[in-house]
Amino acid sequence: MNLDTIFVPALLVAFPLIAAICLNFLHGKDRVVKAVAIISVVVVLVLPWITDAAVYWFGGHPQVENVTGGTNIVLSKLNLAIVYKYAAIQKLFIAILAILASAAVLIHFTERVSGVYVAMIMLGVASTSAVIMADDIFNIFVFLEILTISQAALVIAIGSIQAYKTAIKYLIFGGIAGSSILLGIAILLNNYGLLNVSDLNRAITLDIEAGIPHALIVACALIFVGWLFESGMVPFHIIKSDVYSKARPSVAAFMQTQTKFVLVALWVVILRLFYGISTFNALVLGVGILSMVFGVMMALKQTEITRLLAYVAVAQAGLVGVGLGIGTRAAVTASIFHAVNDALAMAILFLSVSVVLHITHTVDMRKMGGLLWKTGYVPFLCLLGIFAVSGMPPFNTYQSEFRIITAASTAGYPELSVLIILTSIATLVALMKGFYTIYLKEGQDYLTDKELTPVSYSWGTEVFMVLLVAICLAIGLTPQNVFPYIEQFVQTLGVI
Amino acid sequence: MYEKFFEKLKQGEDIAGAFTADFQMVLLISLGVLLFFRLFTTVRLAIVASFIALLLVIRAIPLVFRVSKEHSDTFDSMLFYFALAIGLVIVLLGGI
Repeated sequence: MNLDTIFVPALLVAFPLIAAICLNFLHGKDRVVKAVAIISVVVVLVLPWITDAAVYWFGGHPQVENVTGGTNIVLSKLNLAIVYKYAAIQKLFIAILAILASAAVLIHFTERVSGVYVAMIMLGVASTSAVIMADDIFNIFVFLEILTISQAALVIAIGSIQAYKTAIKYLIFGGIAGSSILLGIAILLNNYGLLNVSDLNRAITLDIEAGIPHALIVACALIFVGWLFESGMVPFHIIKSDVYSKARPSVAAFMQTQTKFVLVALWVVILRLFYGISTFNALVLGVGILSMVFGVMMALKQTEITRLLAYVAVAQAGLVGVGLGIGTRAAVTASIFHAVNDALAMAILFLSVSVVLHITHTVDMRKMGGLLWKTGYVPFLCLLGIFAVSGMPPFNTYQSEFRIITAASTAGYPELSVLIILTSIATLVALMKGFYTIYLKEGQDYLTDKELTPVSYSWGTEVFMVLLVAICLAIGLTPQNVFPYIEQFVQTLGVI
Repeated sequence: MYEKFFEKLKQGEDIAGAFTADFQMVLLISLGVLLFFRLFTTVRLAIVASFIALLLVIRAIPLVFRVSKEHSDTFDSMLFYFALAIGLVIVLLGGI
């Protein structure tokens, strides 16, 4: 039996989808849900590693040669089916996503068991994996919609009025952004008769030789607006941070990872289609800078710990956008590296907050304090997480931020280097303020009864935090184990 | 500036965080102006423009309270910025 034909890239999407359907169906039967969820989590964790790098054509449809597209453009090769591309970079993204999905599921089980809740997490894994791998723009759109719905559902699961309001707003904006992407796709389909990104790339390359058509600019603008929403860039940074802050922190850790990976995956698609539009990179750079600065500014102003972390996550996504907007090969590589690194580092902080909320039952930092000796190694791990997010050596984000700063200077933007360094310092200030308030400030009411007794908390969260800190350190000390794969990926894009 | 911050302090605002955020805003505007003018005009003009921008921004401090007021979670505010963004994106991508 040839395992290569069984463990195909499509299974990375199909399995979590099937698991989501089963878990949803089993909701209410707690013991069965728990068993199925744990099996699903194990499979989701293992699948990215046992699946070989491959290009997968759905239905086994081959490429055909010398075909006329929707216009009179003749393409040497044309994909007839939906194509998934699975290489080292996709493997890395999906593996990290699986770790954080597992953390969200297992931490959820320490509070209660809900089949629907776990189903939504599995739906999130499936949709993000599809967006990361798909080379078909309509397939990407469909899974972006599923992603938005699953994220909104995870916020609704909190059950508060504020969470409902946030979820409804998120769905409305998701609907508008989704429609925007769909309209952009419709224009492309009308002009070129194609949906495959590689085919569209070739067709557009031939078409823009005579000048950039206006329809292409409008399509780019519409899909770009969708990208702004999916990646939580200005002006969608408010709703995105609202969603992170209203969800459970363990799920917010997973969501911010989804956002960063979708940011990169969708940007790659947009770049491959619209690289000919000269102002595209400048626009990405502009929204990246604004998201980075506004994110950190708003983080400094917050009194709720979840909102503080949410804005820091937005600021870090902005930093990824800055690297992508600079547009040189070095900057883009560093930026994708930073997306990976920051997703891991931010997850440490969100998980530490999940322990804090378990004890305090409030997100208001003014009501917190005195938890330093009450939560085991969590404060220490949280401090390491703060150093990691702020880009301090020897953590992984230092490696990526340093590369972005260097790339910005080399590309002729020393002002950006200064701004990135100052943003890192401001991030450290915001996070240290949160750390002081939660752990070092005088004790609060919830501790007075049992002042000297360590408070119970979930040890599973601590295990995941240790794992994430270890990964951050491992990548920070040996970036050569990850960085070359990203370099190779950027090189194969062929448009930078 | 001191009085404005002191007024906010009396209202229970976190002044340390606000001051850092304001510092960040001042740098964003002055460095942004410097970058823009340097790329599209001359270095001398860029220095003068960024210096003027710096003076104007410092006069307008504290900015962070205005910025955070605009970062409201209300639906109409978000929708306004969304409409503004889509308009700007189309105009800028069109190369106007």
